[in-house]
Parts: sequence; structure tokens; C-alpha cells
Amino acid sequence: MIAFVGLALGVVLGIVVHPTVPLWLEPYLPLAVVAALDAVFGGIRATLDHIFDEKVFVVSFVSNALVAALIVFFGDQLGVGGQLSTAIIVVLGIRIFSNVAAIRRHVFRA
Amino acid sequence: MTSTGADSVPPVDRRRHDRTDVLSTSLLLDLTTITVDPAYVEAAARRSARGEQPRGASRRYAAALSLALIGLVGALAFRQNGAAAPQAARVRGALVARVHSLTKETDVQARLVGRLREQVARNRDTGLATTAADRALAAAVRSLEFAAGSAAAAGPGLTVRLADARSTGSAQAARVQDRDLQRAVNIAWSAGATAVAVNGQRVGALTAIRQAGDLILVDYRPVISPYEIRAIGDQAALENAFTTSEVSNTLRESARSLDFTFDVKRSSKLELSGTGVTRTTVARPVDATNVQKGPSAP
Repeated sequence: MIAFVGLALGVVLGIVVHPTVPLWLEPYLPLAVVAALDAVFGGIRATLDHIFDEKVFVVSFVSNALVAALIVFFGDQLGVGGQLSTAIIVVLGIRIFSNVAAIRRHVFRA
Repeated sequence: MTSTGADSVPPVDRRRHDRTDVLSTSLLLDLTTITVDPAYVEAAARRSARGEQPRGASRRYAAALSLALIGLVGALAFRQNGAAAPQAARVRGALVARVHSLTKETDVQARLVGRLREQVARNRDTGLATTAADRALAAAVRSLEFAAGSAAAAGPGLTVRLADARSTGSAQAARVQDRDLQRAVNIAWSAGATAVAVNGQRVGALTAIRQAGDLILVDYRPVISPYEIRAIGDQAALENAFTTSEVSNTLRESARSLDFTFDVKRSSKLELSGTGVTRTTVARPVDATNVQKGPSAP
């Protein structure tokens, strides 16, 4: 329950307070969102499997976001930032889809 | 507690298996077969090995904090994208407004230039009205101005219309090109036209009709379809040239094959404005003083 309160609080904070994102951080924001989505769906799926673990969730979110940002950063330095971003989106997208499929099977038994 | 759902969890961590045989596609296989994060499986295995332990409150807070962070990031990204689009639209709108206002200003200035030029001509005429030599000079200037196209002209003539094909399937082929306009203007000149204008742009001695990308420029000013070439001159001769000359046949042929408009009609009264200032920077009369000053002149 407290987790959902946290989620709602974050959304409200982001919308109401609207802190300005520094310019250098802006390219990483969309990827951070995708990485976060991956962590969230992984967490939901694990919850439905009754193997959810808070520590794993926190670590997977942070490391996902960091690694995604790092890869984009190095990609930018090497001049392949766009392609690497695409690679990350593809991988995380597949994971999100398979997790959502598992959640769907759990919820609807279909 | 490793398995509860029907399809849920692979029994062991598959990363420890020797899978060199499928190394080339192992990443893709992992992606599609191990859909649950192995870390959760491992943690669950550890927990069950040590026996179920109560989860600390701090862990729950950490998860809540991460979710808050996720929500924050999501909301931020959402707002960032939403904010960027209107800003781009605003910048574009401001630029468009600026273009419009500057265009208006240019028009105003152009009208002013026209008025001032008329005034100069009037002043010159009044200034050169005392002696017969002055009057002859004024008349010579006027006729030269007319010949150069810098003075306004009026009289009967012909209006030739060229327009892009309506259906622009093959964009480049179906459009009137600069050489079509050049041909039409040259037909008019060869038939003895005394003044020619394309879409209101007077064609003078130094006026170029040329293409810049998709746009045709007459005297460096853009003109768009439909193109109206007005030529003042002997109507019969002009009409004859536009119907029978070889160049006009070429023009008509390409108009037919490419489906663009090409028609000619008589106009009893045409009024053509003058060109801008005619600068003789290219050619200058050869006489002793000019030859001496020529090379050092800017």
C-alpha cells in the first residue's frame, strides 16, 4: 500500500512542483522512464509470482536507470548514442512485453 | 518458495548452465525465455533456504521511495515532452509573425522607393526644361529608361498564362520551369515587345529568370504559379509569334505532354511598373575618362 502512496506522491510532485530538468540530464529522461517501467512491470510480475523482493526491486530500478544512462552517455561520446538508445529501448521493450504477458496470464488466466 | 504459478519460474538460475552451444543467440533466448528477472528468483530461493523471514519496514520504505522516484521521473518526462512541443510551436509562430511583419515593412519601403523615384524623375524633368539641349537630354533619358525597363509602361499587348499542372504526381516534371518562362519572354522580345513583365515583375535589361530549388526567381524575387507574362507591343505580331514560332511550338508541346496550362490572350490595356534601379555595373560606356578610372573604380 505504502508503495502506491509513494508512486502517487512522485507523480503529484512531478506535476505540481515541476522542477526544471537540467539540460544535460534531458537526453537520459526518456530512457530512465523506460528503465523504470521495466523495473515496475518486473516487480508486479514478481509480486504475482509471490517472489517479490523489495531489495531486488530497488536495486534493479537503480541499476537499470544507471546502466541505461551510462550506455547512452558513452554512445553519445562515441557518436552512436541514437543506435544504443534504440538497442536499450528494444531490449527493455521486449522485457516489458514479456512481463506484461505474464501478468496478463496471472490476472486473466488467458 | 520458488514456484507458485503454472508458468512462473524456471527452477534454477539458468545463467549457471553451460550454454556455449547456443552462445550466438543466448541473449535473445534469455530475453524471450527467462521473462522473470532472475534476481527475484534468486532472492526467493535464498529466502526459502533461510526460512521465511519478516520483511523490514525500511525495505518497504525503500521500495516506496523508488516508486516515488519512478513516478517523478515519469511525470517529468511527460511534462518535458508536453512542454517542448508548445515551445517549438511558439518559436515557429514568432518566426512566422516576424517574417510577415518584415515582408510588410519591405512592401512599405518598396512603395516609398517607387514614389521617390517618380519624384526624382519629375524633378529631373523640371530641371531639364529650360533649354532645348536640356529637353533633348531629358527625352533621351526617358527613352533610355523605357528601353531599359526602369520606367513604367502602358499600352495594348498580350497576356500569356503558364501554370503548373493541377495533379502534381511527378512533382518536378509537371511544374513550369525557369526555362519555360525564359522561352515565353524571349518569344515576346523577338516579336518586338517593348515591355515585358512576369507576375508583375518587369523584365529589364539585367533581369534574370532563374530557378532556385523549387522556386522561380525573376529579378531575384520569387514568383509562383500561375505565371502571367504580360508583353506590351504589336498584338498581331506577338500573337503570331506565340502561335507559329518554333520556340512556341516547343513550349506548347511540353505544355501538352506535361499537362500544364499555356494560353495566350490579347489585352487592350496593360500597365507595367518599372524595374528597380538599373545599375550599369556590368557594362559601361567606353570613353577616355571611364577607361582611365575603370580599373580603380570600386
